[in-house]
Amino acid sequence: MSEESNNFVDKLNEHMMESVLISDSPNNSEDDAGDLGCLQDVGDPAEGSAGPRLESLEDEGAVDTLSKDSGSDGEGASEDISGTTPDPEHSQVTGVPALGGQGAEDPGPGDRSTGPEGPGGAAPLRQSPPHEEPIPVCTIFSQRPLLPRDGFESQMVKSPSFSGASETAAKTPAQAVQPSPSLSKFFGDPASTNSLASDFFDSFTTSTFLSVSNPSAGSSAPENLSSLSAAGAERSPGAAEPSHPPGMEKAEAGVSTASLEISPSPKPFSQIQAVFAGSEDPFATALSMSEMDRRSDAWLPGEATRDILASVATQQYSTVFVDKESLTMPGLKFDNIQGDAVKDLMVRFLGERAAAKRLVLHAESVEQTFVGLRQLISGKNWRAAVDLCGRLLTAHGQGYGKSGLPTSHTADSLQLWFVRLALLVKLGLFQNAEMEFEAFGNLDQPDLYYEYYPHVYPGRRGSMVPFSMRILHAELQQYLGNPQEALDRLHRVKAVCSKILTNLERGLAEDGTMSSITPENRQASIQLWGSRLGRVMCSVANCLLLTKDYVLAVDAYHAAIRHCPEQEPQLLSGIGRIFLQIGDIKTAEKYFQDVEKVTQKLDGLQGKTMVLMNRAFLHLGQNNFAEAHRFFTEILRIDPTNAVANNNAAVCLLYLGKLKDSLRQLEAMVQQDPKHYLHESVLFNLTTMYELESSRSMQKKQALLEAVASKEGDSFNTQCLKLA
Amino acid sequence: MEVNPPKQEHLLALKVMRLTKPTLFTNIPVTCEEKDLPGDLFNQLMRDDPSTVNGAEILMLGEMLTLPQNFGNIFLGETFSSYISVHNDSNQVVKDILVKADLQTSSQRLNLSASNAAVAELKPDCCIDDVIHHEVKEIGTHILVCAVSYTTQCGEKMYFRKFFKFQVLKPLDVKTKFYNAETDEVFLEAQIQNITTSPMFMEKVSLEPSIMYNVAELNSVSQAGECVTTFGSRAYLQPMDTRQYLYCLKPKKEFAEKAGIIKGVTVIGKLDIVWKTNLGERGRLQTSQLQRMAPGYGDVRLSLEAIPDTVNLEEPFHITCKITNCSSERTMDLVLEMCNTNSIHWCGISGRQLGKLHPSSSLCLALTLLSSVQGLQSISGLRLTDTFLKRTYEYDDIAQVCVVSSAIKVES
Repeated sequence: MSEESNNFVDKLNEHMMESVLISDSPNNSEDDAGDLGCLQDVGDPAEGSAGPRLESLEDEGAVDTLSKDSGSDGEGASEDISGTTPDPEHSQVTGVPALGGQGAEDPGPGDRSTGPEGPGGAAPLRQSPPHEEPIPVCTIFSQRPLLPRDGFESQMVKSPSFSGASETAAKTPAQAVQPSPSLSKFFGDPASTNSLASDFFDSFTTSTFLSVSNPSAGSSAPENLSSLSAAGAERSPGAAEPSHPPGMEKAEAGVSTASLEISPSPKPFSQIQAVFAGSEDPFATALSMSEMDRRSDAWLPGEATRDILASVATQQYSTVFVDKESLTMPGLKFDNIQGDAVKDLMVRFLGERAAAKRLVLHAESVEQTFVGLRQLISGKNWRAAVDLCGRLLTAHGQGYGKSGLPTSHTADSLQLWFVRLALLVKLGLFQNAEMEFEAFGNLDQPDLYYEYYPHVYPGRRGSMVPFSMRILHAELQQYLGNPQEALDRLHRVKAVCSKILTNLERGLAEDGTMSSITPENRQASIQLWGSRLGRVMCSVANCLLLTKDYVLAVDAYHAAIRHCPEQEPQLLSGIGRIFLQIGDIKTAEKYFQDVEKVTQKLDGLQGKTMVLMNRAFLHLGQNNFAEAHRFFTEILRIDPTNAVANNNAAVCLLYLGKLKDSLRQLEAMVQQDPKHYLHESVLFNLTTMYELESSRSMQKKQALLEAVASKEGDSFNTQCLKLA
Repeated sequence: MEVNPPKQEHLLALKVMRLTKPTLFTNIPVTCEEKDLPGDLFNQLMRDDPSTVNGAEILMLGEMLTLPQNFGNIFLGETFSSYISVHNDSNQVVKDILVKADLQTSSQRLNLSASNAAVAELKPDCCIDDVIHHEVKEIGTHILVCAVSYTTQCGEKMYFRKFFKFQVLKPLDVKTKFYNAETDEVFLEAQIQNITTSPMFMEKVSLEPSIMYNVAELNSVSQAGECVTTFGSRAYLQPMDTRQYLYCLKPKKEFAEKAGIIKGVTVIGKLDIVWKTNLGERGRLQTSQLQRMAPGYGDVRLSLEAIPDTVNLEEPFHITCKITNCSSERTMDLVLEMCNTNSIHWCGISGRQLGKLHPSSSLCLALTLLSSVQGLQSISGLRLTDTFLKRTYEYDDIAQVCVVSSAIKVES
């Protein structure tokens, strides 16, 4: 985060940039020349007029050149580099000759009186002869007509080599995986045949994992349904088939808002068909709205959406025409991104045979249900998980090429989208996520509300969009380099959260309707929405941090502390680290002291660790790596498995000139618990030190690759191994 | 030593890495709620991730330090630190190893090695480590020259060098502007612009005055007994941000009294700037001596000592002038003349002898005036003639007074 870059993607990838080692001169035999960014190779330097001369110079004159201010080379010593005072005098801002400008044979040291003004100063402008016409000066400020218009004179010499050298080109990594037409072939069967698709979809929604999205709904829900909620008088064809014509929702009368505490959940379509055959019973529909669903699904639709939803609710037996524009028609936008970068590297560096030993789960190697999906996610096979989400969505009729085609949504399909998009973001595939997120608009379209499907979700109200998906939707923009849009979206979410909290505090239901909620339920709801508000504030703060608006970011973290008081010490420490990053050590110290006060109340390992960690960081900010190392080691004494302290202590050792010790510490840590410590930051540090250690870093990196191969899933970011 | 040594395998490998401050790892928080499809999975993944903050996983800025990823930029006034590692890649013991690190700038060559002593022997897979530090004092191209000489087992003397080139950039743009107050005070306005690409915390910006001046910094105000900076809560400069500092310089008594001394080009002092960036990376610069052209008063300076700001119409009022002989060695014999102007009239005798005025001395002169016109009026028409040189000095528009009707009571 230290270097400036407009693109966030760059920032995220920063820690994976090329090696820091400075490349060789071409006439040296080492073959590692040229892997470095900023430093160019130099041949024998022209300034030194080639090697041999430099040689003799250094051999004879080594002692001379030791003294900083000697200027003994005689060729164009800077006039400001004076020998009179030691330290900072040398770094005069002005008067340092521009690179090419050593024409002047300058006496050099101690000669300020002769050349008092740097070449770039405005001296010529002011060298008007002192004895010209007398100027009466009686106005308050004297006139200085000779100065430039704003009256400021530059105090520095422009170095010709300066301009343009500082900006690192912002590059957008091409991350988008191109959609491949092969997908439709891959999923040919389920995608093309509707009946098959819905069967497939049913197969997972009716599985025991139905309860994942609705814990309150037991596996007995379907049975309950058939008896209790006989809703529509007329069977809606659209409800049964995922791809029905738009705006053809049939609505039924009397969706009661009264809530009773029975909780059936989204039902499989097959059951719904059966249900709709039953007779109308408005009270039964009311039963389907559980407290918990209402609490977490509550959302305040925009005005246009509210109107549409109202007409859906009131226009019984007749069609409501909804503009196609305001419908959500998502579809997969790219082929499966299944792939395994670790295996690719193994093939390249370790050979086919070694690579064959690499076993990761694929989408097809697990149960094609939510169970399988969870298995893939927890095994860190996120690419396969994304793929499986895609398959399940394809079964739901929202597969590849289905974007822009009418479809219907269920709580499950929205959850699948959320998981897929969240995993894409976790994988850093932001462009891909953006492509598929686009169809969801601002997540406020009427067909994303339960009220839009009165037959499928009789009596249920609120949004199908998971709250976390709204956060994801907003945050994605900051990763794509549009922090302003991200902030706008976050603030919209924040506004709704605040409004809902106000409603609750005024004795209304979440959505502002009159409703009798028990005090316990109201309290639970206030707690839920309070924590959601805190979650949004944290996201706002993170986003501001990315835009480097530190003042506002710190304010936002303070606001987050108000909503999540249990995180106060962590967030205060975080604010302290922000100030350290800016370079404001004093303010950082102030925050770290606050943390010490707060943690005094809570004893235990966590508080102690935090205090020691902060002290270590403070020493780091004061350039005292030895003390910082002492504190990181202190943490390890009370918590030997602390990965951060372990890694940071090793980093300090390097700055203290102890490369081998540092390597030993990191290697020991990785060997001790590879499952835990094969983290990309640790591996990045390790490979960087391998490169610094010797020319034979390749074998060691490959050993790391093998370790990774046996522990990590397909989501592992191989860039940190620096093998490519 | 050959100019172009043939390519050969060296037993030792030299590696150099610039040690900028490490950076803090940032993670991408993705959360979900209990009720969502993944249940606690996403949150569990974040808790298991060692780079997240324990107990506040949503916080993006973690605690894990990562080593610098690239050379980065280096700016004038910062400290260049570098790790130099010489590693024995071979399987034989190498003797008499001497590692030298020199920094070649456009003007000089500096030795940066901590020690110049040779290491007696280096076993296989062992390292010689050195961390060098150097405060950069020049802009432009710098070349780090690392030379390694050693003796192989069979007694062959080996030698190789590597060159690492980097550019030192300018971190700040400093512009200054002087205002001369009528009293001998000088106000210095300094604009300091951050022209690096990272935020910069200004730890200290102070003006070290030259021997003739005392300085008062005008960059903080007293609020409820506390000194508060005028820059608000924003303690840092974003890239390309400019901040304006203001200083008031007063000539010290001994110089102020001899008005003639401060004239022509005078040295005011210099700005001393200390800043910090990422994790306390420190930089310090000083400007060269700031110079000011003292207002040219010529040989004879006329300054106002006292004047009322508001006077009544057609009523006499008094002003006091101070006349200083600013020449260095010439004694003057002055005659005062007054030319009447349209609105303000001089009361008194024109052609008054003021007598001899020695170099660097001054005299005070009380004069009476009268205005015949209302409004803001300018006082002009004063003439001093040096009878020795027959030279006349004219003083027009030396001050303004506000003339009001006598009906309005002038508040004292």
